[in-house]
Amino acid sequence: MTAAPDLTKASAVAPSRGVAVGLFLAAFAVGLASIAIVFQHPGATFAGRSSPAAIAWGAAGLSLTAAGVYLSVGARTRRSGAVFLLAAIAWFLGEWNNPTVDLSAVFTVGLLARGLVAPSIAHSLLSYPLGRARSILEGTAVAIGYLAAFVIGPVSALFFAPASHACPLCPTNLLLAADNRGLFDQLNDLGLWLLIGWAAAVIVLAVGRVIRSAPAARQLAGPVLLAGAAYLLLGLASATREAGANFVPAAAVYWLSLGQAIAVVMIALGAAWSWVIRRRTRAQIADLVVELGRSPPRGGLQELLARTLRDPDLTVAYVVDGRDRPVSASGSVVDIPEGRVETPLLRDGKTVAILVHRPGLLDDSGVVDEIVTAARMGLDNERFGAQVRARIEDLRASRARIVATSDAERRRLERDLHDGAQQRLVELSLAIGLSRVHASEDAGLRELIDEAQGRTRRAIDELRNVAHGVYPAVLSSDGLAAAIDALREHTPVPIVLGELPKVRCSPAVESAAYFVVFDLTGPFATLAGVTRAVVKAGHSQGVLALTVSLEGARTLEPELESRLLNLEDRIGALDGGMSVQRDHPDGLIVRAEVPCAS
Amino acid sequence: MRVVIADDAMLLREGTTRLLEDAGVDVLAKVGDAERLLEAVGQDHPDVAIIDIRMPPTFTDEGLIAAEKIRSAHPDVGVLILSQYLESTYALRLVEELPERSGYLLKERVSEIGALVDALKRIVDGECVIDPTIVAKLVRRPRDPDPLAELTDREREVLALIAEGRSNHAISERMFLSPKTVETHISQILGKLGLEGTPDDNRRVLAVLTYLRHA
Repeated sequence: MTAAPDLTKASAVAPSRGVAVGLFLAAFAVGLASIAIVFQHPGATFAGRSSPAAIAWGAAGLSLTAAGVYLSVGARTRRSGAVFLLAAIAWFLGEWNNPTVDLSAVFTVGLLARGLVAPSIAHSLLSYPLGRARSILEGTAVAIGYLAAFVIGPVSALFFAPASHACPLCPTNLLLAADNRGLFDQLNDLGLWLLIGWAAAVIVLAVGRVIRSAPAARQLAGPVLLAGAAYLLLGLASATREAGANFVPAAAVYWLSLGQAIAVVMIALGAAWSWVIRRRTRAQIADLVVELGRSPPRGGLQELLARTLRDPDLTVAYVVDGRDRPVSASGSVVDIPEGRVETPLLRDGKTVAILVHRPGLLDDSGVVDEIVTAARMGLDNERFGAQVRARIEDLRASRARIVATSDAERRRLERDLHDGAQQRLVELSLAIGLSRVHASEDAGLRELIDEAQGRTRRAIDELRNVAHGVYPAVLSSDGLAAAIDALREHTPVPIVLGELPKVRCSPAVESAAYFVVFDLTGPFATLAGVTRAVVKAGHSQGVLALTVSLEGARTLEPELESRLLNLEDRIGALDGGMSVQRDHPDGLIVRAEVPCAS
Repeated sequence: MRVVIADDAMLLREGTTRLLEDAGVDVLAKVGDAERLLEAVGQDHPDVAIIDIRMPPTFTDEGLIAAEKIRSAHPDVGVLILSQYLESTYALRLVEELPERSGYLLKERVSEIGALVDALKRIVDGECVIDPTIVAKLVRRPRDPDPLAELTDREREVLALIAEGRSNHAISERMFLSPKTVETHISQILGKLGLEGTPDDNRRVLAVLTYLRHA
């Protein structure tokens, strides 16, 4: 589950710079003091045993401090920086319970801070880079570590009298409550075993996290976690020695400590590794910002983000009004394939865009936040564009529906006429015919009946014309070419045919094309001066192209103009286009093009 | 004469039946769709099947399709299509393949009992029958340029009768001309239109209709 990067919210509550500075100064002071102790009383310290040890110890403390300082610079990682500085302090304090120091205060503080090193280092590596543990499990592990340190440190210190521990020359323990060697030993052991078990658990957690991470996160926190796991493993081994178990030979303890120091240096270097990665991503972000400044074309933002975030199938989708599902920049609905994750990008709590990406891509949310902020304007533009296109699409669909409905109405009307009024008239005619048979005697009656029959025939004829004008049967049964051909018997304007399409188009398109010809060659056409009409239609690359030349047409006749406008609407509703050429010597030329499958 | 009638409108079916029976024609079956029509023709073997062009299920050209099926399966059975559509397209579709024993009349023709029975007789005789109204419209169709302008009025009349499928004998009776005169007219007309070489009456119908469609 990744958090939604909010474009407006700044990184959540960072500790102030003051805290970081304070911690740094503390680490600096403690470090200096520890160096002084090591120099003065090298005997009982680890660092004092040899030059390599000193160098390693010093490097470890120094690098923890440096890492802490470096992480404290950025607001987002400041919390982590603070933890690293604490770990540095704990590291340095590790040499303070040196039995040969002069000051009891120093000695006592050393006792208190005795078990603190490992937990604070574990804390710093589990909470890298944001300063928070990733899960409740990890948080609990950190807490248990500190608990163990508490037992080993302050609690057992209450009962530790150096004198009775075969150290008569040790300084006094200022915190001594009661001299109880047995209890001290027990508490010490408890603390140690707690620490050992805890260390094992943290190793598992750290390695587990590395294995489960997405590549981006693994690259970032992997070095820190693995170095930390190594450190804990070595520490665990030497702690078993101290707790009384003999898995590890006595001579190895020195090497274990050396190894631990080196591991700590590696941890700090791992933290610095993120600096390297960040530089690289910063360069990418800079490129991104520059490219965005060049107003990329539609869909270009998606390609850019896909490249920068290194997810080639990344999709940017927008939530627009009038659509339940998000659409891409071009206005078409975005399907979310299996295995991909949606992350909404928020501004002021409203979802502005949705990134569809591979799982784990947005683990490094810091970088993502920056990229997203840089892309803010691009996202706005594209979203606006997507909204507009979605609207246009809606309008198109609505127009097409209107035309389709009107076509359906016409067909229904024609059928109603055919099956209804026209049929009734034929039946009427039949009835009249039947009655005439029985009127063969009466001449007068026959005459009346004949007249009635004549009128009925005329009615049948007229109604047939009306029905044909509403919707011609040949168009439904034989298609556009046949219908235009048949039209020649029904119009007063002579129609000359050029090429006609052999390929069928959708009924809506054929209907529209037919009516272009029909509407322009009715009785009004002769009144407008049309002497003949030349019609040709062809089909190429999925488009039906129709040309009607009205020779002799007087332009700007109101009836003609209003019909042209109506036809243009009809053609337009099917995604087609119509143009009228009025200055041709032949007369008026109307050209219409419609995608065949509309 | 024995016929079957196919029309989805009951009133028309009944009315036509009555008219025909009054005129002495045997109506063997009355059906309402193409499937039953084909069954009836198969069973009863009428002389002519009278078919409404528009029937269920699609109400477009079922009748025409059924007529084609009957003509190929039972060549000795004539078909007479009745249609409210004044479309030479449908008429041509019917006679294109097999002009013999085929007819296309406007539905209202049923009220002229004489015309109906006459058409039936002609079909049984093997002729081709095209409704005069359809032919008239076809002949009168505005043309530019107009090749029919070369014909005299008389010739135009004869042309129309040829297109209706009438035999020379019928034409001579109709126009009160001698058969010889009729023959002369006809060869002149066909010459002017460039349609020589069609001796067969029925082929001649087709040639003229096709010419009139495309000129």
